[in-house]
Amino acid sequence: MANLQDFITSLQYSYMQRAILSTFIVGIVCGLIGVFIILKGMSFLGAGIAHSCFAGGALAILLGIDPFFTILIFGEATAMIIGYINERDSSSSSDTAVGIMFSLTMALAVLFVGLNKEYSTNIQSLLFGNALLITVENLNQLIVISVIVIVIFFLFKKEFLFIIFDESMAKISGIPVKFLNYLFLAIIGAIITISLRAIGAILVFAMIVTPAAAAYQWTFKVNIMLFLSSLFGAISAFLGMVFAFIFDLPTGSTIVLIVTFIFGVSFTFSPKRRSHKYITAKDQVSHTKECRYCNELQDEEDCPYCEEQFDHLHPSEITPTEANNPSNIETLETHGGDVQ
Amino acid sequence: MNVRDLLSTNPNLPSAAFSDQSSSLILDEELPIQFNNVTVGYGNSIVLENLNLEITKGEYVGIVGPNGSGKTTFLKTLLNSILPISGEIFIYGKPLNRKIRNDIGYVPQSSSIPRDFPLSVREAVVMGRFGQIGLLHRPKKSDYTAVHDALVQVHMHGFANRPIGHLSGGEQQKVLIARALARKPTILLMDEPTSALDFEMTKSVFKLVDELNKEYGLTVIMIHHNVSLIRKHCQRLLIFDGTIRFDGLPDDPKADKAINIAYNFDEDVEM
Repeated sequence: MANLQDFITSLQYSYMQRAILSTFIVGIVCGLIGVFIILKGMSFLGAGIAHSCFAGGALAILLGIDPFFTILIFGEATAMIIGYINERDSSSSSDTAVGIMFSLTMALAVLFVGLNKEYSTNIQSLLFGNALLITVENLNQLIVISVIVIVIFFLFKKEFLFIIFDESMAKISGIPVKFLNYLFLAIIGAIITISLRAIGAILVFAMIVTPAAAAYQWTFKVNIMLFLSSLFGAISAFLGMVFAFIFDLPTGSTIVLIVTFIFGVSFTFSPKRRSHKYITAKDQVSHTKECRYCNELQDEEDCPYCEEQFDHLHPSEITPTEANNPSNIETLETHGGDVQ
Repeated sequence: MNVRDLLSTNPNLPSAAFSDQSSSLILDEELPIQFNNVTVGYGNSIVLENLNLEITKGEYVGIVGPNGSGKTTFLKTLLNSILPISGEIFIYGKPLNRKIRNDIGYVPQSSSIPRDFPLSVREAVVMGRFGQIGLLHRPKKSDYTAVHDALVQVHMHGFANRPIGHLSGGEQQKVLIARALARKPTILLMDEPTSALDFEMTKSVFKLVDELNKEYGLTVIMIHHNVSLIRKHCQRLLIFDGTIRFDGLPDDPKADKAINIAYNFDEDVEM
């Protein structure tokens, strides 16, 4: 068994540098896009596209060509077909299209592997990934596509979020929803393609969903969630590489084990989940349980916010200009509020 | 009784101008909405036929009708989501197009927002301005000023930083009204805005809409299933049944008969 000193020493080798850099980038990019995938309720999408990429890789191995383009074509084609089916058949769940494509591409993958008379270790690395085998060319492709994906993601971030929150309203507001939905799917296809070598077709799904799910436990703000998700992805990629080296384990699965551990910790200590203990489903119908001001007045059944029978403002009704009024200051100091 | 008959018998009717199929439409830039012989449908099936309607500034129009009577199709047509098969729609005297849509704010049916959804009230309301901000641009200070104004209008400005999922159904609906107001519309279209709310919350949303109509002069067109409630609040009632079966004052006794026919009620049912 190696130790941490050995790991640090190994960093002088270019293959280790490439392995760490590539998994680190994959962690960040998958973490970013994963946030919108889980908010959109399309977690299964990552698995569907990843397995279609595997079919593309298997075809390339059968034909003896560079797998990058076949993986990219299979990934993007699957993403577009899923988008098309969902667009045309809104009555079905989005997972229906993913399920159909998932089984189809897995069948193709098994077919391509079966047609290949010689056993290839590349098949296994496509399934489970091996960051240590990443070449300079692979790394360059990874960096270029990651930069493109991140730029597109942040250019259209506000529109993507609007579509996730209220797609019909986004359409009515003049947002090109159809184009952006396909663009989003294309981004996912591209990310999975570039992640495949580092962490494999099976595990890339975890890198998309798990960091985002962990980040979701901590915050109500989407920007913080994006930051945390990328951070969790990057940390688990780095720590996964460290542990994989020290304990001589497969890199992809070690990374996924670490990120799942982060999710477990987040889930256990989530402030959101803790707040649920105090705010039951029944309480959700009203803000009053959370609002100390209303809460104190509830017993008297004359909540000023509801009945407007009061001589001073509810904290929520105090505007920034009114906040300097002595009586309002007292209200704010006594009862709190979200006044800007 | 048609609308002309109604006008002749009731001079206090809020809308003073109606047209029929035979008359040519006089475009009026003061009129928020004019429908001229508009027929709308999906594929081969016609949902609304030969609509002729004018809605004046500041009117509060309630729309009722059974399922499939064309209420939502009417709103979708106004939102340019469905193109009419024939006829024309004018907004302030100009043909309905994408740009004019900025005059129109839309409030969808109330639906529950996941409690943990990572979006604040302010972020939800600023989405109402995305159509005006355009792609690739970020919201500016003026956009956030409009958001603040809209939240003040619905009395929710103190909730700006709260996660929207933490609000009650009624408060969430007020935020969605603020989102519609953030684009500074003069016409507010509401499609059953209280459908998932309890009675108290429904009352508070209606109170707010009354206020927006009276204090801010917004033209309001609201679809609602609760006929008696909408009649209590609106100034003009439209009863849809594939076409406009009734157009007049909400307390007009003739509205009862039209409702009974539209909904296939027994004659003695009063709304």
